Amino acid sequence: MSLLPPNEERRRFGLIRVSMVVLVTLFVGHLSYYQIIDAPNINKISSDKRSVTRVILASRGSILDRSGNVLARSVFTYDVNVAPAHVANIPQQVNGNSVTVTVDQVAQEMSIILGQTKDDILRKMAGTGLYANIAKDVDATVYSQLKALNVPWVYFDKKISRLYPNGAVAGNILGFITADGTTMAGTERKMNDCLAGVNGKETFDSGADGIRIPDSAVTTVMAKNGGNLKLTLDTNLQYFSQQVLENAVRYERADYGTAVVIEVKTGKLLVAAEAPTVDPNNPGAAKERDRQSKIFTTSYEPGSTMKSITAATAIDTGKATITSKVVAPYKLKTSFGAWIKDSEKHPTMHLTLAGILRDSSNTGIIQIGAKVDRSVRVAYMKKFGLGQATSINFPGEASGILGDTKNWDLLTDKTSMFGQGIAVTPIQMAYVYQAIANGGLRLSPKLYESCTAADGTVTKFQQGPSSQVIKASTARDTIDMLEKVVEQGHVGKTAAIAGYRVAGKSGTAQIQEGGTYGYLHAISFIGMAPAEDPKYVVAVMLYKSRRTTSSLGATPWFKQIMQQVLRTFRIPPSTTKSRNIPTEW
Amino acid sequence: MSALKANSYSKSKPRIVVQQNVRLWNRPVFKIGIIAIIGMFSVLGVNVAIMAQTSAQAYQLVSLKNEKLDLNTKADVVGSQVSSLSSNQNLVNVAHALGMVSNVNPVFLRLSDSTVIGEPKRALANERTVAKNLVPNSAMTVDTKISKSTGQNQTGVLGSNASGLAVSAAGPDSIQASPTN
Repeated sequence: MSLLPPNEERRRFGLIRVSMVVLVTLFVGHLSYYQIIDAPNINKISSDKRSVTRVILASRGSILDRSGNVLARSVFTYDVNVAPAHVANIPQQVNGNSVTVTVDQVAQEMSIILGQTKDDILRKMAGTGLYANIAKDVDATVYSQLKALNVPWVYFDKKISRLYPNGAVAGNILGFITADGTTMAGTERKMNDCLAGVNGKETFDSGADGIRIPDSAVTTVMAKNGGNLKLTLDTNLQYFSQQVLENAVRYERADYGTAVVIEVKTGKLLVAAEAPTVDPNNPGAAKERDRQSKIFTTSYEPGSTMKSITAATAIDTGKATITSKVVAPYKLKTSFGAWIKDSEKHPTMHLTLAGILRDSSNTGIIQIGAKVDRSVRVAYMKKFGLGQATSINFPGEASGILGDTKNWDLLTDKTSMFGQGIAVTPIQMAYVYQAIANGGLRLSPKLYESCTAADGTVTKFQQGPSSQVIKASTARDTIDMLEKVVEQGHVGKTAAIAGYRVAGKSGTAQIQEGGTYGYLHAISFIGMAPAEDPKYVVAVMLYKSRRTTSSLGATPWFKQIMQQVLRTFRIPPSTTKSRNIPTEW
Repeated sequence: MSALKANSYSKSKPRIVVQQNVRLWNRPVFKIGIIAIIGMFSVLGVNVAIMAQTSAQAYQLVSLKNEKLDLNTKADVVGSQVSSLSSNQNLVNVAHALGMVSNVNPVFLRLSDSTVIGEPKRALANERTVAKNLVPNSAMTVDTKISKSTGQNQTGVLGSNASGLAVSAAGPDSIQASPTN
């Protein structure tokens, strides 16, 4: 049965025409939908399937010492992963023969390279997932060995990590970063703006085999590597000082020790050593207390090293001279009834100011200090940099404790003259002596020299402000008195270095815990050489020394470090003699 | 107009023209067609060749990039070993192994008056001086091994040295190092 009679050709052609028009309209409509309306979406799906985006890793800048030696640099590390679902025996061709390497054999090989047990690795490989981590942060050596196994279901995630080639050398200053790149402490954190890089990315079309399709569009955002940071530290001296300090802490059974070396004329920090300290390659191995820089972050009562400030203040204000005379008994009763005592019993002595420093007499220095108003003494302390963080503003830096100086009790007013009742950081106290050694001109500590960006642009860091704390003549008088400490003092003599004129002061400070002073001390020695024209200041402090509880326990280490400094910088022996100053009357 | 018409009427009877026997390949249209086809296939061929070349180079590029990565990895490995060998800790260990002790009593000779400054003392490794490396370094993956040579002419990895001690480096790839690096 036909739909239309044979004689109705016109109608038949009309129907066919209409059908064709409808069909073509449908096709055109559908085509328009795909080509115009849904085109962006289809393009996106297509592009997503083809295009690959890869992160271009930017490396973090290196940290260098004053001579360009690398203290920290970026290296590639690798996470080792497997796809458990694909773990299977591997057919391989060895010398033309087909062999099958079993999963067990692969695990055995990997265990040797990774230092894990075979069972551990097999356990991690078990399962049906597509991801299982076998090891994290392996270095390039291990990566190369694993890659050579040529196991198709083992793959690697490349990362940038930090390497500190000299381990714990300056570890307390360098700080460290976590595995995910978070800066946690020290210079890594403080100078992140200089060191950090910015990752780039590359997007291109690839085929099913992962190979880039030729002539496909490539979008590239270039990675920006971080800058190199130059410090003022000297790696070799730093290492030597840390060796000495580590030895000192062990020998003296101290809680910890610090040593600072300063270039007097520039204020540059050459050494900032601590023991114990942190190896930034493995910060987890150090106690939490040792992961920071105690030179900047801890405060201690300085003890007799403070007497240099009191003496300099009295001379600078015209209230005393180096030959000012006092009668210094073993103990002295104050006007408010408290007793001030010296550290060791002795008969009453007739001392000059130089003699007071030589014998480190508490009863003598409070008589000199009392000639200067408290407000003036406090002003000098502040001018010397006490009670405030340094301009370095190191992460976690303490400001020391001067307290409410206007409302000091009468005892603190006296004890502050010989370094009790107030607290300082090791860096503050070292720079007090830098000012004295530098003719009274206090320079701000300098630790960061410059930042060299990836494009070679060098940015030099400005040093903090400097100030004339005491007159040059006062500074000279103070150095001359400190030289008598090393020439004649009971403790000071052990800091003497043959051939060189050395000036310095010892400190034996009681440590307050729970409101009372215990039997352990913070012992220190801060000195400068050569005394006729001081070039370097060395400050050594041992906290809670248990073998030697006086500053006699600090001088041998000061001497070792100062000798090394003089040798390193080829300072010739002194050719002049010290000033003749009366110490007694 | 009328003249033209008259002329056309006058030529309405077709004239018989003798046609030359023109061969097919001699016809211009044929020639043009052949040239066009050859040209088209030539362009196609060149295009295929270029595509093949480009594809091959894409694979070569990937291969070279992989080679670069491998070389970078090797450079990393060697760099780490150099860092390790040149670290303060390794140098001190080597120095101590060679019997070198830091002398804390240096003596100076003043040339102007021939004065000896300081008291010469033997350098000793005792508890008040540093007798061994005390500063940790977990990045030390390679260190310099010291072994005593058995004869004057015996040569270690690096050859014999003045002290009669052979110095060799041991590590995953056993790279060589100078004792004075």
